[in-house]
Amino acid sequence: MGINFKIFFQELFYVLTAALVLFVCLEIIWPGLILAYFNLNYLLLVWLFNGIIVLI
Amino acid sequence: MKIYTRKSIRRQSLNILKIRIILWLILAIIIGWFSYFKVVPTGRISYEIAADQPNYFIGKLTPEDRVAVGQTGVTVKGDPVYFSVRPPRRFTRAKVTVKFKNTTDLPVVELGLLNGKVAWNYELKPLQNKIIDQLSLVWPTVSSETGARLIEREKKYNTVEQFLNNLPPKSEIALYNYILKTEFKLADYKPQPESRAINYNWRGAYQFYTYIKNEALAYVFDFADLNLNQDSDPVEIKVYSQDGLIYEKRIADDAASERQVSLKITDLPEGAYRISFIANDDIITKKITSPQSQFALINKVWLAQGNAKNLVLRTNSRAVSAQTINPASLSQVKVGGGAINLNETHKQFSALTGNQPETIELAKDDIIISGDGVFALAADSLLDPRLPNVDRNLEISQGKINYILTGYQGAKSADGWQTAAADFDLTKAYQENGKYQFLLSLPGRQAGELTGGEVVIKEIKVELTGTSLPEKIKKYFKRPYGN
Repeated sequence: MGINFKIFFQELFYVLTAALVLFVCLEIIWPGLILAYFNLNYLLLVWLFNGIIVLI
Repeated sequence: MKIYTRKSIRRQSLNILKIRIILWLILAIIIGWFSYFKVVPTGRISYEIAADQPNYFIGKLTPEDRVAVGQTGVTVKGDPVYFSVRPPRRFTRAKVTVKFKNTTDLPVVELGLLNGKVAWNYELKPLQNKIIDQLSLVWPTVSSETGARLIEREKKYNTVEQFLNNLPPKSEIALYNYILKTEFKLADYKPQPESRAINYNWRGAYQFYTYIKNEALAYVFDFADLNLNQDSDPVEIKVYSQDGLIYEKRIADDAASERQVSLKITDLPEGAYRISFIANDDIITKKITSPQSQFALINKVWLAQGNAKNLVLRTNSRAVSAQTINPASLSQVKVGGGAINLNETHKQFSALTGNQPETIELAKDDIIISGDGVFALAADSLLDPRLPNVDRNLEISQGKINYILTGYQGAKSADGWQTAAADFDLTKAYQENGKYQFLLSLPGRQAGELTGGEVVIKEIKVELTGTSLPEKIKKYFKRPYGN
């Protein structure tokens, strides 16, 4: 179970990193696409916590 | 120590694959969801806000000194207030619905969309007109299929079409949000043999009525560019007949401080024509030369600095307002028997006129004079082919107005709140940084003045419509090759 969680957070980290990069790029290309609905700071926070969990 | 068998490794790999598929699918769905609301493939989308909770698409009501956020919504303390709408892409029409409460004596609430930034011209649509709302309850009313309403003091016409085909004297008709084409002729008008010059300095944009009979419509405008701001200062001249725009000319900013533009249109039928000089406040018209004798400025006059002192204007306005941005121009403006004490800059002062037409005497220049009528330099030039507008200055009770023709439908009332909608064409609208600018107008509402009642805006809803994705694709493939 513990190993499964670790794998999950590792995989989640990859997806969150991709999401962060994609969202920032999309926002630069089409302003308002993401920020009109969602504050990217929240994603950055989740990504950061997830990264810490992966490292522990 | 845990021993990994081939089976358990395979199971774990399968689990990783499952997790990967699920997580990346979620990301793809989220991006798809964002893209859907950006592209709006249906061509229709709506946004709604509580007036005190603006979002990315509908901005807050400004300026801050004219609004106050309360428990029930945003209270409007001064006229006008503005808000912006930022659509995710291009749309062709916008239906703006406002939920509001107006417990003041002010009868008119209007919504406008900025169509041009040079002269800050807004296309205004009605949200509420209490005069028409009240009169339609007590006077007989007939409606047409097109949405026009005729409100009569005494029942005479059974349909709007009957009224339009057999118009009563124009002095008995008032309009609101309706364009009525009527014949306007000056009985004693005679063309002048020679041109004359109007040597007054006018600042910024203005429009005026002129009149022709068996002659060419000819004007020469000499103007100067103050270059107070860095922007380019193009000038546009538009000529309108009763049927609409008939001529336009655009003069680009060529960096010269003094410029001239002329227009000459021949073979026009006799009648009144509206000429619109569209420019920003950097432009000063120094001289207007024309053979036409009639020159009546519409709604607003800004006599720039450098004019002769003790200027006299004539007006048929029912209310006159004065304002200045120049401290040196603070003075008393005589309006008929009364006076407007202009003792503060950037503030509008108003006075009701008595018997029309009235004289306005200005001791100083650089004052903006505005009103609901026309302003002329001579009493015999008070040319105004328009019919009276149903607003707070119209005196219905005197018995002169017997018919009101309007395209206004009235606001819906529920739970003490009024809801009214206005439809706008976005293709003509001015857009800056992806935003459209809307104005909420309450003529007569002045910040800092204590009046009974309040105007509260509760909700704003914007419904946008435009080309759908299938229509766009169809259009793309229907385009001629190479275009």
